[in-house]
Amino acid sequence: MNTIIETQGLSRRFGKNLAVTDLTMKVPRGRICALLGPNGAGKTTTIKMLMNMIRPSAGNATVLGTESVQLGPRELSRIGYVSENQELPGSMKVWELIDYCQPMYPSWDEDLCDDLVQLFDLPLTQKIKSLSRGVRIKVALLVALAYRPELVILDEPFSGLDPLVRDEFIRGLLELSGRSEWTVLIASHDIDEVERLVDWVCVIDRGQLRISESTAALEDRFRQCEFTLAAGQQLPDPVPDSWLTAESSGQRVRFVVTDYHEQTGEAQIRKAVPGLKEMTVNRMSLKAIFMSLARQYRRHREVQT
Amino acid sequence: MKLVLHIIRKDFRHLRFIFGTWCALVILTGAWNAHWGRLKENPEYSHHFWSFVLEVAMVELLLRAAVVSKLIHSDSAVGSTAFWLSRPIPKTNLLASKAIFLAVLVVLPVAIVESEFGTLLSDTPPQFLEALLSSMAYISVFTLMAALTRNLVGMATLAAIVFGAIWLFFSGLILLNRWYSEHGRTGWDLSGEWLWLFLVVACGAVTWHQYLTRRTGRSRVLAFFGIPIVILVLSGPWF
Repeated sequence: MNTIIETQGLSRRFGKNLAVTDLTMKVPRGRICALLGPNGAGKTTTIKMLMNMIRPSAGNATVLGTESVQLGPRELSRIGYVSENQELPGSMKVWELIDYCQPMYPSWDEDLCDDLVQLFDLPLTQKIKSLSRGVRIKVALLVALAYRPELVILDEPFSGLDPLVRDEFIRGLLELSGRSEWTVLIASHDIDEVERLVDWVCVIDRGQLRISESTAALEDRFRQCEFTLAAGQQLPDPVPDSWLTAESSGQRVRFVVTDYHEQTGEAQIRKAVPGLKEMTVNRMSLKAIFMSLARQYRRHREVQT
Repeated sequence: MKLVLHIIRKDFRHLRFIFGTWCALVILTGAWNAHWGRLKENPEYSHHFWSFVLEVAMVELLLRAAVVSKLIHSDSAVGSTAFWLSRPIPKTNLLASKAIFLAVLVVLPVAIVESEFGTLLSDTPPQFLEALLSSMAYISVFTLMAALTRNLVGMATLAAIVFGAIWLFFSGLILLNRWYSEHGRTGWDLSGEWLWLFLVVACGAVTWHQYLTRRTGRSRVLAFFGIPIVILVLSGPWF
C-alpha cells in the first residue's frame, strides 16, 4: 500500500494522561480518510503530532515520507491544514490574508483561489475577526487549498457550523476532489457529515487504533441483524465475538455482525441459533457502524474496570 | 530574505496604528526632554513638566511593550494553535523578521532620540552606543516575555511577576552588599554596561531557543532561573 501517513507506536502523554497510546496507523495515498472517534479519543493530539505542532512522547510518524518531527517548510508547502482551534490573523482582511499566504507557495493557483472565493462567497474586504465562525472556517479552507496541496488535514472542520455552511463546505470539498489528486485526512466526531466524503476510515478510541480500512469494506462486512427466537430458545452463551451489542426484548433479538459475507452470512447466523424466525439483515450506514463500535468499546471498558 | 521582508510588511500593516502612536510619543518625549533641560532652572515650570513628562514617558514605555507584544504574539511561539505553524515559514526567517523590525523600527529610533535629546533620568544625553545598548536591553526583555506568553494579558501578568522577583532579587543583593561592606569586603557589582549587554545576549539566546524548539517550559526555566543565576555569578565578589 502506497501510504502518505504512517505512524508507529505513536504516543503522547500530558502529565498523567495518555492522550494517544501506541498508535500504529497507515493512511493510503489518494484516499479521503476519516479519523473517527468520540470526544477525547485522541484525534486532535494525533493530528498535531502529524503536523509537528506537538512532539510525541514515544514512537514516530512519517508524513509525505518525512519524519513528522523533521517537517519543515518544504513539506508544509505540500500540506493544507484546517483546524477548529487554529488562530487566523484576525486583524487582517480576507484579501490581505490571501496576499500574505500567496508568496509562500510556488504552486499557488490564482484561478483556483478565485474559484474558491466565488464558491464560498467570501467577503474579501472584511476583517477576519468580524466574520462568523462558519465564514472563518471557509477562509481557512481557502488558504489551505489554493496551492493544491498533496495532503489536506482537516481537524473537526464542521464543529460549530450551521447545516447550510456544512453543506457548502462539503460540496466545495467534493467539487475539488473531482479536480485534484490529493489525500484528505478528516478528524471528526460528526459522522453524518464525513460519510458523504470519505472512502477510508480509521477509528480510534482512547488513543488506540481500532479499525483502519476502506468504507466499502467496512460497509460490506457490517450488518444489522434482527430475528425472533423460537419459544423457550436461548441465545448461545457466549455469543460469537463478531456479534456486537447483542440485545433482546422478549424473544426478539437485535445485534450487529462484524464479519458478514453476502453468500454465507445468513447461514452462519442460522447455524449459531437454530430455529430462529423472521430474520432481517440490513446494511448499515457509517454512522450506525461507528455507534455500535463506540458502544462496544464502552462496554469493554466497563467490563475491564 | 524575500520572505523575511514579506513578514515585516505584514507586521507593519498589522501594527501601523499602535506603532504610529508610539512613534509620536517617542518624538514628544524627546522634544520635552530637550525642552526640560532649558526649563530645569525654573523651579515653577520644572515641577509641572516633571510630572507630565514622567507620565508621558511611562505611557511611551508601556506602548513600547505593547508594540513588542502585538508583534511577537501575532506569530506566537507558545502553544500549538498559531497560524504560522502550519505554513512553510522557516523559524529562523520568522525570528529574523521580528528582530529586524524591532532593531530598525523600535530600538534605533529610541536610541537616536535619547542620545540626541537626553533621557528623563540623566542630566546629559547618553552616548549613542550607551543609548542603543539600553534600548536594546529593554526590547530584549520585552521580546523574551512576549515569546514566553500567548497574549498581552499573559505578558502583563508575567511582567508583574518578573518585576516583583527582580525587586526581591535586588533587595536581597543590597542587604547582602551591606553585610559585605560592614565586613570590609566587596560585594556584588550590578552597575555598568556589561549588565545591559548580558541581558541583550541572554534574552536573545532564550528567545532564539523558544522559537526554534517551542519548548516553553524549558525556556521559562532558562529565563527565570538561568539568567539571574548567571548574573549573580558574573557580578559576584569573586570577579
